[in-house]
Amino acid sequence: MEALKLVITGPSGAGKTSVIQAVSAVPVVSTEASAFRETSHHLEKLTTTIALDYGELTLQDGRVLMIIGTPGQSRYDFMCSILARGAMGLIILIDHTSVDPVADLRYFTSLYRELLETTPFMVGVTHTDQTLNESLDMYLEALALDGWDAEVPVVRLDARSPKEIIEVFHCLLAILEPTP
Amino acid sequence: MLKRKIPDSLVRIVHEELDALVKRLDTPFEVCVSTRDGMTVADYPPGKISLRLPVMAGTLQALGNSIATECSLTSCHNVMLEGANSNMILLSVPCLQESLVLMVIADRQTSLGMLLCFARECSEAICEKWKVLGEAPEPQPVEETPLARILRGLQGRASRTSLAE
Repeated sequence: MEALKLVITGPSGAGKTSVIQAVSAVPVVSTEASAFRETSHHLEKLTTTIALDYGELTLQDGRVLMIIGTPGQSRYDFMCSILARGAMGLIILIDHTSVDPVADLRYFTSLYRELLETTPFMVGVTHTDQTLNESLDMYLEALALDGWDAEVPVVRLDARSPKEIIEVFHCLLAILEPTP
Repeated sequence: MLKRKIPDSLVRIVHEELDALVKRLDTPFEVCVSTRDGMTVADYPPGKISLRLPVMAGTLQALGNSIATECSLTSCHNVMLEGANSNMILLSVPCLQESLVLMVIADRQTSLGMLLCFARECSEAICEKWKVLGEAPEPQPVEETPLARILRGLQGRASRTSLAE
């Protein structure tokens, strides 16, 4: 059976673990630890991913989508490069309520630059319901400024909604395998 | 920003037990106890271990646990890395609800078995001491009640009067 590897990355608190828990058809392999260091500006967040999250989803054509979530803090960047090897696509989740979400996006596009030059990716913006500024233009502008393809999708995403997440997965697969 | 805190009494215990471990090993080595998310609780020689290493140790221990669970081994007690020049042992120290990680690195003169034995005894000693001391609550500053404040004032006045006499 063919398997595709999808990597979900982004800063701590953006919803990577939530996304995988929302859609995985198998029990999620999770490596959460209590946060003795700061994790994010979300006051309710007491745990942090320290190695990876892993879930699976079977696509309609029978292929298995292996969904791998990376840790969010920069001190785990060594883990991100290990996890991203062989990925067919990457989703960068950005917390819209973060202090500087554009800087977060630029950090992660820079971190994965080598992979992203040859692999499709898209940006999922979470927590958009928690701020008055709902525009996503700043992300598109930042991507354009850094020389990324103008067609990189930037979408709003509720990390708890399986329907929205699966739509995002389909969008990424459509980029990967364009309909003839 | 929410940050959990390692109890001071546990930090003291860890320091004591690392000192004891240091005395037992006679070859060059490095040792560190850290939280699962990579915060150093105590290390030896102080400040020599890079900040990245406890982070990686926490990650490796977490991966070890995930792999052990996948293989129905329940939990991962230790991870060993055997290198050309030195060996490393990562051992879980299950004293808090979430284990700490003890990392010991020693050159090849120290056998892996001896290193594991010493590290395990250190981990057990930390847990044993914490079991006894950890249940005692940390001393908290007592807030003075209004009645206690009046009594203290009266006692002070009485002692001043007796001195004057």
